[in-house]
Amino acid sequence: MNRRKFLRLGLGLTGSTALMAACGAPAPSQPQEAQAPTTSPSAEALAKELSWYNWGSYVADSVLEKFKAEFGVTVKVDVYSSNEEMEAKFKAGGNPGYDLITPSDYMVSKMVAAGMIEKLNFDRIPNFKNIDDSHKKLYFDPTNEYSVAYNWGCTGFAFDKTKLPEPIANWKQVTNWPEALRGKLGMLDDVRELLAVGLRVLGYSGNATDPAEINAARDLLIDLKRRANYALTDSPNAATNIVAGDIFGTQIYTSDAVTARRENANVVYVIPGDVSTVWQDNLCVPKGAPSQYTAEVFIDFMCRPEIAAENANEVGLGTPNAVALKQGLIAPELAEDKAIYPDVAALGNALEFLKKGDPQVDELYQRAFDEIKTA
Amino acid sequence: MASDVILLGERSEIKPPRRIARRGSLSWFALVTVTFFTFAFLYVPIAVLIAFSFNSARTGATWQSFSLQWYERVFSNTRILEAAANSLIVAVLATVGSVVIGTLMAMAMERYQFRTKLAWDAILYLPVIIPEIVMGISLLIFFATISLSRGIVTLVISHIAFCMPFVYLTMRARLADFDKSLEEAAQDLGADEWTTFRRITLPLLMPGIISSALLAFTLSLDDFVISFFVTGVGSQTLPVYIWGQIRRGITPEINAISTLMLLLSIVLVIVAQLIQRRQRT
Repeated sequence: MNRRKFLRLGLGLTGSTALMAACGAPAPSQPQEAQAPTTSPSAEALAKELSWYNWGSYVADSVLEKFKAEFGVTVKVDVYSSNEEMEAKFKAGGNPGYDLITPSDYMVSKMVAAGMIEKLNFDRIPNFKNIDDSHKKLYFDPTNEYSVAYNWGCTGFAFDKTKLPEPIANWKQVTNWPEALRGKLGMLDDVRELLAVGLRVLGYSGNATDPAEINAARDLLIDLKRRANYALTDSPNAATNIVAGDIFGTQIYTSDAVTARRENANVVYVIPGDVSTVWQDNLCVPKGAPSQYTAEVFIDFMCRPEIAAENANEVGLGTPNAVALKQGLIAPELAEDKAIYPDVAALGNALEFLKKGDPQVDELYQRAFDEIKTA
Repeated sequence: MASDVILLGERSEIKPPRRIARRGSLSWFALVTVTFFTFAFLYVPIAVLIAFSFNSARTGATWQSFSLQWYERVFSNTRILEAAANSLIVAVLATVGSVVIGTLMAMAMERYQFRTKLAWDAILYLPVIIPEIVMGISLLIFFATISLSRGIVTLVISHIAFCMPFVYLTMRARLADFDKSLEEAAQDLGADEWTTFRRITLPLLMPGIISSALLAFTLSLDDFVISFFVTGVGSQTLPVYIWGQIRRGITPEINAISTLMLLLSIVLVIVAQLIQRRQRT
């Protein structure tokens, strides 16, 4: 096993070295851009179309129209619903022809290790400076050479304030769910998100690799299941259920909680202080992209404060664009929303990324998850 | 896939039972109950979907008020429209392709006797029972091997491949009670082969062709699994697009577009029925 892992690491390294070599040489057709990165790029080097494989409902159409008006490039968007689905599309038969993808944090590191992502030429992305430092050089791209932060959010807890005896502020309360409200609790049908709750309540990291810790979290969640009989749903369904009043409280992604709150004024969304999950989706150029240059021009365009703001206002998720926030371009009802833009300083170390991708660890989690489901 | 097989338009000749359950009797009550639940299972979900496409709320859980906003959103959402257009293009091409190939194949198999016929017949049935996922993966590997880039072309080829057996089955059933003497009579009267085919064979086969075309069109339109594997850049069909929306939740936009698709299917069935009725008289 160890040798295989070593081999894979070796292959990954050779792959990425080859990639570095390939990207290190500047493209011969655009030497002038490299010298004067702030001037608008010449249209002749741009492709006519940009193909973006993106999450569903994840970009404002108006922004794409503006890009076309300014650069004459039509952005075609195809959609996926999970990182693994997107990854599979590239693994089975290579890049089908996408210039741009939007992998989440852990998927960036996984795809970089597999040599599936190109290094970006940041000379062509001067607006990268608008991105807040807290969204740069994160664990999945420590030197920040492959990715540009696009959207971010958390996994928190939504509840109906008229139906719970007291407001929820931490996961500890969630795992002490009153027996009187049996069947009225929802948890995410996601192996890592669910187990992270158990781990964090026990004081461990949501990224624990020790089987004993994972099993302790499993037992806690099985016990909770016996007492509270929680329903496992995906996040959009959790929103539907809480709006309808079928459940009184649920683990949920920020994006869906915002939807639920809009439909039902009694719904409150909190990011529990005893460590919650944070995630970040990133713009990356997959290996074999038809036009990396066009993709980079587009990424730079998306990092403009007014464009980032227009996009964030439409999509309703957190933008990492610090300048857009500082200039007050984000709609106030979004910008002042502590669910979308939680006070990261106040939460301090209470936010963590869920790191996935180690097959052995993933297997441990999956087994624990299956045992919870069948308990 | 196999569960979808209904040989549309192939009227069965079963006579009504002589003894009709008396109104109010136990068997009458049982029949009414079964019928009621059958229709309820089939149509209540669709009715709910249509109703909620007129709901102003974003989540599908509660009724707020009547609104046409989701239809407006559908018609201003270029991506939904593109996906719907892709679906229709693929469905039309796949229908034409599979009906032509399937019909010709059925005619050949019906008319010629050869030694390995039984084996070929079985092979033609096979795709009906092969799990879609197996077909999807094998097509993907095949296209990757011959390095055909994924897109509308691969979608159409795949859809023809899985629609064809259904057309073939329908046409074989139709051809089984085809009166060959009519063709012979036409040729006795001096018609050449092409004229016979055009004036005699084709009109007689038309009900079968229409039902198999409808079947192929519907199968192609709502296929997800195979399309998911063979779709490429800018060629996502509607089911694949809807799937991609799942993480951000199914919006009533999806209900609206589904209602429109349903309307289209109903219109198609009515048109097909009208054509068939006119030909029978």
